[in-house]
Amino acid sequence: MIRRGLALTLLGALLWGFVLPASAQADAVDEAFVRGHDAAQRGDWGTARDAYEDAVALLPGRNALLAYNLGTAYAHLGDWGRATYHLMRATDFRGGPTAGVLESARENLDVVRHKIELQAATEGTIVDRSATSWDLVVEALQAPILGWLTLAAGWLWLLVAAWGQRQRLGLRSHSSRGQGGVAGAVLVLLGFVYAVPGTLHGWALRADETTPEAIVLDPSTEAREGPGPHREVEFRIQGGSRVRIVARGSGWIRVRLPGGLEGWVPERTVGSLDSVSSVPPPPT
Amino acid sequence: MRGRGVWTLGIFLSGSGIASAADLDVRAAVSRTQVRVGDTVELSLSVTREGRGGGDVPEPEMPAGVEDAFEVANCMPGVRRSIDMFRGEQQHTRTLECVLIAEKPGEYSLGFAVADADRRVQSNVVEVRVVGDAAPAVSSATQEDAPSPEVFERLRQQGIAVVSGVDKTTAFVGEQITYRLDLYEARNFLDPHFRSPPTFKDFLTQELPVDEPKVESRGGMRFRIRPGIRRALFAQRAGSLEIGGAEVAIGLRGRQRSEPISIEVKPLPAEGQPTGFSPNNVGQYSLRASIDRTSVPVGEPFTYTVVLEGEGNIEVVDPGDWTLPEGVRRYDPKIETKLRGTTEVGGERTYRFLMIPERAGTLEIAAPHFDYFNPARERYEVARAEPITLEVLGDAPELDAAKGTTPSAGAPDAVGDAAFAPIIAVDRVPRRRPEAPWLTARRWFYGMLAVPLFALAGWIGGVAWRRLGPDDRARAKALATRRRRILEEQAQQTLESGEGFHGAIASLLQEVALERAGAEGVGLPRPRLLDLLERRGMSEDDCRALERLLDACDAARFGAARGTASERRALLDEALRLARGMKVGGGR
Repeated sequence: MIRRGLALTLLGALLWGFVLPASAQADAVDEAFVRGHDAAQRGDWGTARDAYEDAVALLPGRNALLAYNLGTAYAHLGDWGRATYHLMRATDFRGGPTAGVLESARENLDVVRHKIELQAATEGTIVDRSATSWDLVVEALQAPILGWLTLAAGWLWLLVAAWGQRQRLGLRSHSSRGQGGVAGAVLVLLGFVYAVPGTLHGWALRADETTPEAIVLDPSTEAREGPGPHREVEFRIQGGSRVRIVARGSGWIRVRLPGGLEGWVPERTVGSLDSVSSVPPPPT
Repeated sequence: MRGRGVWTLGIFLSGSGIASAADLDVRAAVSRTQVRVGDTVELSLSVTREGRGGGDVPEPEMPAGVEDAFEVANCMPGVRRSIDMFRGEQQHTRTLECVLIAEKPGEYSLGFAVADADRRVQSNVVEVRVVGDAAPAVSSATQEDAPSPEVFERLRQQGIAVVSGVDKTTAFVGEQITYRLDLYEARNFLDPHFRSPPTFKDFLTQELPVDEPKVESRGGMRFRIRPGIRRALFAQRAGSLEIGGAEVAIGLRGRQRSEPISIEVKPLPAEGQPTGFSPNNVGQYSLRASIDRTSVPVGEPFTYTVVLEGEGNIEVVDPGDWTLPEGVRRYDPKIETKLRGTTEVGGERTYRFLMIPERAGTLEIAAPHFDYFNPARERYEVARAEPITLEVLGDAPELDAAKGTTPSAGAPDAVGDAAFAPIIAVDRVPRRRPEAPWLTARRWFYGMLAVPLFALAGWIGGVAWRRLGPDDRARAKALATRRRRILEEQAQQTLESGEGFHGAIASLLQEVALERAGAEGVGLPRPRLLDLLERRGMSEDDCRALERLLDACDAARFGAARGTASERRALLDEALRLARGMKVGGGR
C-alpha cells in the first residue's frame, strides 16, 4: 500500500515537472504566434516581428514556419539582411518545412533578393552573386542521403571483397565463373559509388564545416582589413549577402564573398545558418 | 637607349700592374653609377705611394676615350701628404677630381693606369650607366627652348639661369594657361634646388608631366635644360593676375629668382551666356549617352550613362541638372573621371545613373546637353547627345493607376509590398523535437575511413594466410579426415536401413588402410595391401580383423546379406575401433 502511494506521488511529481510546464510553454509560444499573426493582419509589421521573435525565443531549435513568418515580417519592414537570414532558415530541411512554407519562402527570397541588388546598386555596396546551378550542385552534394548511400556502398564493397577473398583462399567451395563475374561487376560499381560521390560529399561537408555559410544582417556592413574598428575599411557588404566564415577572432569574423573577396566584420553583423539557435533581434 | 657601347678604358698592355702594386695604390671612383644624359657625375682619380718622396708619385691620367661619351666640365688636380700613425710612414697622394656631363647613352667602364719606373700600374675599374636620348651634337633648340638675350647673358655671366614662362599672357576665365619653369645650366652646379616655389593665387592648377633633361647648343654655348615645373593653370577671376617668381638655391650661397609673370584674364562674355552657366565649363567638349539594355520590366533597374569628353578642366565642370521623363525613379549618379594629355588637360567624365521605370510603355529619355564656352572661338556652344528610347514591359502598379498619382521616388521598398507571399497563419505552431541527425559529418568520415582500413587488414590477412597457412600435406590430411568423417556419418545414418551401410564401411576401412600404407599401397589387390600393412608394422591381429571386416562388407554388398541392425552396429563399432587404432598408427 505504501509502495503504491509512493509510486503515485512520483508519477504526479513527474507530471508536474515535465508535462505541465511544457504545455504552459506551448501556450506561450502559440499565444505569441497568434499575436504576431493578428498584428500582421493589421499591417503592424513591427509588432508582428516582435511577437514572432518572442515565439522564436520560447521555442528551442529550428522551426520552418516560425522562421518563414519572422522573415516575411522583416521583409515588410525593409530589413533585407534579417529577412534573408530567416527565410533561408525556413528552407532548411532541419526545420521541417512543408511544401507550402518552402514555396512561399522561396518566393519571398526572390523578392528580397531583388531589393538587395537594387540597394547595393544605389549605395555602392558589394553584394554576393545570385545562386547558380553550381550552388545547387554543392547543396545536393551535402545531402545526408548521399552520405548514407556512399557509406553503404563502401561497406557492401568490403563484404563482397571479403567473400571473394575467402573464395581465393579456398576456405569455401569454389564458385562458378558466372558468380565471379557478377561479383567483380558489383565490386566495381560499389567502389565507384564509394570513391567518386563519396569524395564529392566529403568535400562538400568539409567546405560547410570549415567555412560555414552565413548571412550579413546589417544593411551596409564595413569589411575591414583586420579585426578591429581602427583598421582600414576595404569595402562595404550589402545586408542579405551570403558569405562564408573563414576565421574568427575576438568579436570579429573574417568573411569571404563567393568571388573570393575577404574582410573582417563585427561578429554581431552576420548570422550563421548552421547554428541551431536563431540570431537575436536588432537592438532597438 | 641608343647604341649600347661598352668600353673598357684604361685596359693596357701586358705587364700592367694591379690596383695596389707594392707601395703604389691607384684608385678610381665615381659619385653615381647611373645617370641620365645631361646629368653630371664626379670622377675621382688618385695615386698614392708610401714611404718615398712625393715627387716620385706619378700623376693620374684621364681614362682614354672618356671625352667621346662625357663632356669634361671641370678638372682639378691636387696633392696631399699624410702620415700613417701606426707604422710611422708617410703617404704621398696625387689626385684628379673631374666633373663629367653625360652625353651618350651606354654602359661605360672607367679605369686608368700610370707608369712607374719600368712598369704600368692599373687602377680598379668602375661602371657607369648612362640612360636617355643622346644629346644633339648641334643646336636643335626650339623657339620655346631658346633663351632670351637676357637669359643668354645671365648664362654667360653666372653659368646658370632660372627661366619661367607661359604659353599665353591673355586668357579667358577658366581657360587653360600652361606654365613652365626650367633651369638652364652652362656650367655644372651641385644640387640646385627650390628655396621658394612659384605662387599661383587665383588659379586652379593641375600638374603636367615633366620632360627629360636635355643638352642644347646655341650661339657657341652649350647648356643643359633641366625642366622643373609644368602646370596647367585655370584663372578663377577676371583681371590682371600675377604668377609669383620662384627662387632657386645654387651651391652654398648662390640665389637666383625667376621673374613674376602677369596674365591678363578676360571675363566670359555676357552675350549669349546660358542661364546658370558655370564659369568652369570652359574648353571644347562633346557628349554621348547610352543605356545598358533596350527593354526592361517595370520595377527593374537599368543604367543610363552619359559621357562628357573633351579638353578643359573636366574635373570641375558642372553639367547642371539633366531632366528625365516622368515615371522613372532616378538615383544620384556615380561619377568617374579619366584624365589624359601631357600639355592640354582633358579626358572623360562619366555619369552613371541607376533608374527604375515605374510605368509600362515606351520611355523617351530626352537628349542631354552641356553648355560650355569655347575660348578658341570665343563663343558659347552646346554639346548634345542623342535621345534614347526604352521599352518598359509589364503593367503599371494598380495602386498608382487607381489613384492617378505619379510614383514617388521614395525608399527602395516602396515598390511592390504586395509582391511578398503572405504569412502563414495557423493557431498552433507545429512542434518539432530538436533532433541531431545520427549521421554526423564526423561519423560519416570515420565510417568511410574504416572501409579502406578493413580492406587493407583483410588483404594483409590473406597474404599471411597464404604464406603461413597449412601446406599441401596438411591440406591432404585434413581432406582425408573430412572424407572419413563423412563416411562415418553416412554409416551412422544408414545403420537402420542397411542401404549403403556396408559400402560406406568398406570405403572407410580402405581409406584408413591406404593412409597407413602410403602411396605405395594405391592400386594393390587386397592380399598384397595386407602384406604391405604388416611390413609397415601393423599387427597381425589388426590385419586379420581388417581382412575379415572387408570380406564381411563385400559379402553384404554383393551377396545381399545385410544382416540385422544389431549386427551392423557391431560391425560399425569394430570398424571404427580398428580405424581409430590404425589412424593413430601405433597398431595394437
